[in-house]
Amino acid sequence: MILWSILLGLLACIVIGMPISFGLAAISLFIFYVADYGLTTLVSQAVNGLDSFPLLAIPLFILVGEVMSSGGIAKRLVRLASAMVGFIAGGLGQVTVLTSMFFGGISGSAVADASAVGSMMINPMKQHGYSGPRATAIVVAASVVGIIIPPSIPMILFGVVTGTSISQLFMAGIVPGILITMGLALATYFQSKKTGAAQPFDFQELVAALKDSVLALLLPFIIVGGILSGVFTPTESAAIALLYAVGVSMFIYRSLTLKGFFALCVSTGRLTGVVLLLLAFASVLAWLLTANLIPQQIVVMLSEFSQNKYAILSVLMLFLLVVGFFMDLTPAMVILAPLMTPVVVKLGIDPVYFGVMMSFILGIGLITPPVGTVLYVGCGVGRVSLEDLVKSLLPYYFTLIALLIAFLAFPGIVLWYK
Amino acid sequence: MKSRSGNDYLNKLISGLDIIIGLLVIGVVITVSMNVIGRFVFNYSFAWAAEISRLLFIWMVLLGAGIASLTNEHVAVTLFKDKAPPALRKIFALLSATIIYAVCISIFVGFDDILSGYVSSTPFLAIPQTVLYSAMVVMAVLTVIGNSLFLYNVFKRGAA
Repeated sequence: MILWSILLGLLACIVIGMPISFGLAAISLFIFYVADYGLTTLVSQAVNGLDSFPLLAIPLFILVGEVMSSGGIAKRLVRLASAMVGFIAGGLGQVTVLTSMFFGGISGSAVADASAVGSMMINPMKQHGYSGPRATAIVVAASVVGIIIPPSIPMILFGVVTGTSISQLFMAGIVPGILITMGLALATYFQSKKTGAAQPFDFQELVAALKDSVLALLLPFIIVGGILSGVFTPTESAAIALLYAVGVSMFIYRSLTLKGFFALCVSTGRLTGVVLLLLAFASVLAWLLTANLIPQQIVVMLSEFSQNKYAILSVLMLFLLVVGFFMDLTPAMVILAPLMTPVVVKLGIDPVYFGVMMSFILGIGLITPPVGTVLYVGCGVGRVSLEDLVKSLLPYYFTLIALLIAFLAFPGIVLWYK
Repeated sequence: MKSRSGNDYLNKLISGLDIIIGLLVIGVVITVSMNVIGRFVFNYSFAWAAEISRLLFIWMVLLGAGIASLTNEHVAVTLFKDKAPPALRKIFALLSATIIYAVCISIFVGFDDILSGYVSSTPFLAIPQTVLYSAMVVMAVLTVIGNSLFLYNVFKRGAA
């Protein structure tokens, strides 16, 4: 009964176009009503869902991303990427992919990635002979890397709702993130060979760019190194990264004012509210699911269907891919992770592996129609139609799916650190 | 969202709330940083700072969600709604607004029930849990305002 209420309730939300967060609350209310629970649970479980220290990393990483793109940090990362890969054929496309990876090493959000990198790279690419849709497609596809390379906001959400170690999730994301970057670079190479190099290789420029960006480059090392060495928790590393980014942008690059910083704080607060209200109401539902042993029932259901863990895993991945077409990453993550993770763990699959795969698949969902947040950000930044953009994205979809299958076939790529 | 006379009031409300949320974000940044610096520099853990940072964080999230209700920025799939004929769209809007009212009323009732029962406090600063829960009420009040404006626009101005 509960599963059907959730399924039909979500479907109704999507059809009538109401906010998913309040839809989740309404579904819980319906179940409360049928099962005769008190309304206090709605308030207390929603707030308890937010009362978790790791979640504090989310606004901090969002703010770091905002400071980076408005301060001089992003510009220096582009310069470095240009010096490193600009000489390859399809140079500006390669620069875009590499910048996205650097950026993803700091911001943790695909939307931040796409809007920041897009606003810097799309116009230069257009001037260099790329068509608008093609230039935008590169930015949009590369932004998926942002949520696989640590830090990653979807992985923090996964870790919090399933009780999986966020540090291990971050660690696991490094190798797949680099492989995805390389895959996208390769696809870009074949796509835009004809447009030629962006700039000749110049060793002196490389050294100069490295020198100029060394303070910016330290940032991913502080974040990733601090978490992986176990010195910081993800939340602490986010705070340190923020202090560092604000210090560098304000006092060394002098590209951020106090007033500007406050405006960034406001937009961070608003964005966090939207993302985490979903989590608050989803945790009421998650509580209902656990209290009613729903994950256990799904395990029984699936084991009747097949005993092979790879068959079940593939079915779940396919299901997530389809969900990603119609639903945004955050709601899908906070609703499905607590439901599916106990199931896969029961099958003997590492929750860290599942968390990385889930982030990747739902990340692909961000750039696929009909519902894809990053896709729409791309249309806005690149001023292209959805149809043209999706056409130019086709080779990238194939690349990402091929990588997904590779990660499914060789789980060791994700669990490389074990 | 924009009724001509009410627009000024709404904008004033939003810019006031913006200042509060900006300060809450800064508060979270400061209290979390204090914790880190305390742990590494003074080898001392400010347990109370962690407690305050969580309190500020919960208020920040729910106030941010409330502002999103006023500015109509919550995540929704509008794919089907956008393709529906105008009459059907009005029905969808009415349905969605009714459900949101029901959620908000349930939050008020639930909070009232919490107040009438035993209320625990946080371990270090003895802040009653109701201080946390009341952020939900503020979110719900802002949502009721946003939802009413939405309904007004749908039926008076025909913009669904």
